Amino acid sequence: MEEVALIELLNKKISETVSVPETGDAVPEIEVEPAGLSELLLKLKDDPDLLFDYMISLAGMDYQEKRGIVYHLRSTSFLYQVVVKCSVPSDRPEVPSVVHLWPCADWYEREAFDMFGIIFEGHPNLTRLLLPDDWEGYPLLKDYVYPDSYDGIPHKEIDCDVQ
Amino acid sequence: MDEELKGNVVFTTVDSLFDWARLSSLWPMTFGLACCAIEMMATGMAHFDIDRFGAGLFRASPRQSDLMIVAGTITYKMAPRVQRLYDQMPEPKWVIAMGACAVGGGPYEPYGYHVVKGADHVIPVDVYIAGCPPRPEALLHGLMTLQDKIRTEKPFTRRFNELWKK
Repeated sequence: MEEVALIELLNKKISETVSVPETGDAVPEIEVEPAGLSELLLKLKDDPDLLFDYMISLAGMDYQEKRGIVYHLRSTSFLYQVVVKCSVPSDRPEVPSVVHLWPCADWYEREAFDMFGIIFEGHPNLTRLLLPDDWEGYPLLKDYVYPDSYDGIPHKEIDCDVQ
Repeated sequence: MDEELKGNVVFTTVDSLFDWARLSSLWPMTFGLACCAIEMMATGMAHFDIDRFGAGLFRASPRQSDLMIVAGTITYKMAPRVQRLYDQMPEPKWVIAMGACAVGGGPYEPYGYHVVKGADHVIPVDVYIAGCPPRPEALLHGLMTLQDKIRTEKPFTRRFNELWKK
């Protein structure tokens, strides 16, 4: 029942609601508003009883009217794991960068920017990671419109008759 | 004199001689784009041994290559590089499109936003090999198909016609 102990500990330390999903690996989830994100993550990392010093992953999400950012954190000292979820409005998808806390967030944030158009304020080099620099749009968004061509190459197979 | 020549004289055409030389020493380029390249590497190793067909000398430079095996997915970001590598190869040169992605986008057709739907959008292709990825035997069959194609070419006649038949 490590999760129960962790939830009690988290409830003592932070003011945000902590929940445990009924399915999956029962990792505690913390929902947080964008305004409180920086403070929460800093506390999770630096509190001597928590020490979430390892960011396993950072993922972008598209909920259509909102965009989400999901952090998976792990404490290598206490072997705790926690999920932090934050959502921002789609018309202004801006969240603070966490590169200064976990340097590995650098490319994760660039990927989330590349695929979902989420803007990480304070990122040292927020450019496209995988797609070409002149690509238009963010392809993992649900309302992404497929381009007809890129760089003069049409976006469909060549019709040919095989002899 | 007649006895010495017996069995030592061959009559052929220049075209056939050129074709024979070209198809017997196709030098592929060391160039792989995705998982098909793993099968291509396996084909180059001892078990399948593409060198039996004279195409085992994988050159590290396009300047020394005759054959480009497009082994894998061509993304839009990679397409200009593929084009440039092809342009850097000296004539005569041939292209094998290996695997579903290089033939027509493969599993990325039609929803892969980043994948060129077939190598023939970028460079001219001589032989298409189906498979995802094709087995080494399929690549060897593709190579032999290309050799059959080269055998039908008439490089000397074509050049002669270009120069003198105007």
